[in-house]
Amino acid sequence: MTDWKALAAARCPDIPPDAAARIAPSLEALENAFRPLTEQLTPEIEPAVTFTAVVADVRDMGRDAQPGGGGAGGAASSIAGSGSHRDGTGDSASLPSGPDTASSSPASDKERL
Amino acid sequence: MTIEQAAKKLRAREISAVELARESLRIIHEQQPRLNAFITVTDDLALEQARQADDDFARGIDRGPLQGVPYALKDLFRTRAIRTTGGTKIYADYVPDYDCAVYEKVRFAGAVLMGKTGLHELAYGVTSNNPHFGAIRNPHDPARIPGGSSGGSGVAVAAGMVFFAMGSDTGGSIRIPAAYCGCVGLKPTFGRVSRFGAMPLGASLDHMGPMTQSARDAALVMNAIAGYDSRDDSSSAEPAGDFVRNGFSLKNLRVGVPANFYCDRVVPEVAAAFAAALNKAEAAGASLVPVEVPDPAALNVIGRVVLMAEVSALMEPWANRRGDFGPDVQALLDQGRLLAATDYVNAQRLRRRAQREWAGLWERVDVIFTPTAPILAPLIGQTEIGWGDDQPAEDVRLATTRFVRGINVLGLPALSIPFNSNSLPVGLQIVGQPFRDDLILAVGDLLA
Repeated sequence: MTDWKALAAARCPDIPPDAAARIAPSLEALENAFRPLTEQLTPEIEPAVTFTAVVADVRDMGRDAQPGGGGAGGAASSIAGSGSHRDGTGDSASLPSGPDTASSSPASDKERL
Repeated sequence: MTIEQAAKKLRAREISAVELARESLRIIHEQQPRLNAFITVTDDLALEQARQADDDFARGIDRGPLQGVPYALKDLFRTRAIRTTGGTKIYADYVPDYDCAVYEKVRFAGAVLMGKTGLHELAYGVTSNNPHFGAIRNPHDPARIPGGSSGGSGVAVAAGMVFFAMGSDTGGSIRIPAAYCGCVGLKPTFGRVSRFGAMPLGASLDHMGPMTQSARDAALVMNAIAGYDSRDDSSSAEPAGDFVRNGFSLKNLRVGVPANFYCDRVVPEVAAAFAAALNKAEAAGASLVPVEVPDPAALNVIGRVVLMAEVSALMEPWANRRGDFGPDVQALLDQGRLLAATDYVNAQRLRRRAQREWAGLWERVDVIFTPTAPILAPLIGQTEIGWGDDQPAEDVRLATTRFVRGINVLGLPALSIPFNSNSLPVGLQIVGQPFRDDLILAVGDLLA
């Protein structure tokens, strides 16, 4: 089993030793529960989150390249960009034409859980 | 008063949107010192939007049942020019320059924003005991937690401050406060409601949904917010349809009743309320079908690995601001940073496998009933719950999420409705198959 305190010291030295000691039991319990599950996996099972190729939207790419702004605003923009909730800009705030219009947009190859 | 009742009164000119907004603001300001449901109250904007709703009525413009109805947003939904904190010191002064999709849609429907509700820091926890904005308190007993992470939204609805509030649910964060506060909470099917502009937590687990006083109200809100959004990579193009079903009956409905997992370590009050819910469904014509649910404990483990890895990856840029996070959130962030990439990928592979196993259930049942939580709302600061001398004590956070977290892993729609209890509120969880949000709402409407 993993030596979580040693791993923290080696990989994340900013985690203080006492903090690593406090979280080690939780990680150990999680590992004990998780490791046997992985033994059930067979090679053909793919991850539930898969990459899908899509035609790039040049306008979106331009928006993504814009700075998110300074201070906390910039930080929050980074968060949106890091997740799957795409970041936006001020000009994305126009009212939708209505719920039905949004739902009738063209379908794409969206991964569905 | 429900949304439906308010909508009728507004159209009959028995009340105006401005009057509704003023009454909502009065209750919010009266209750805020006791319950701390809000981080920001938008008094001026509320009255401005209410006047707009009244003007629209006067000009014959009817945007649907939400027009003129007071509501609130969990403070992780971005709102242009209104502070959006995510319940964390990191974003305490963040003022977005754009609106999230949910706010766009609800505003288009004419609803009136009262403010932004409090939450567990980063939406990463279930107590809503926020170290930066103060503990949010349960309206049924202020010494107890409201549940979380959408604690402020649950309180705002249960205490009658607003007609509905939006929450987010990554591992139970809508359904738990709904159960502990005694209101309705819907976690829609993954991809059903756009996440665009909502601060993310676990990218593959986050769901946005309504909290209301009735299941029918939740359906009305869903009619306004559901639908495809190209700005959200997980958004589904599956047609949203109408979430309100009239003339629905429980006759011949096949209700799956888990014979495993969901009956273990349940306090008597919850067990009694759950039994009463089953009896009521059966008396109304539903068939109770005992089912063996595929390894929910494994789902919870998979969900924790996925969530911790996703959140810690997201928050990695702020790893050097240890003093700015609460101790519980910091501990989770630290744990996620130590997980192996292979464990994350394998958790996502196990998720796919579990999804296939659960798919077989829907050939035998239409919905599955479980308690939302196995315990009643814990006291603020309580960390463990005892299960008797022969069993170890359980972490309150793990107990609270035990019946709900796995449903996020599967992306299934799940509704929590308050069910009769003589003590603190108890929630009944109704789980459906993907994109049958309308069915679980109709079932909840008849049972509540």
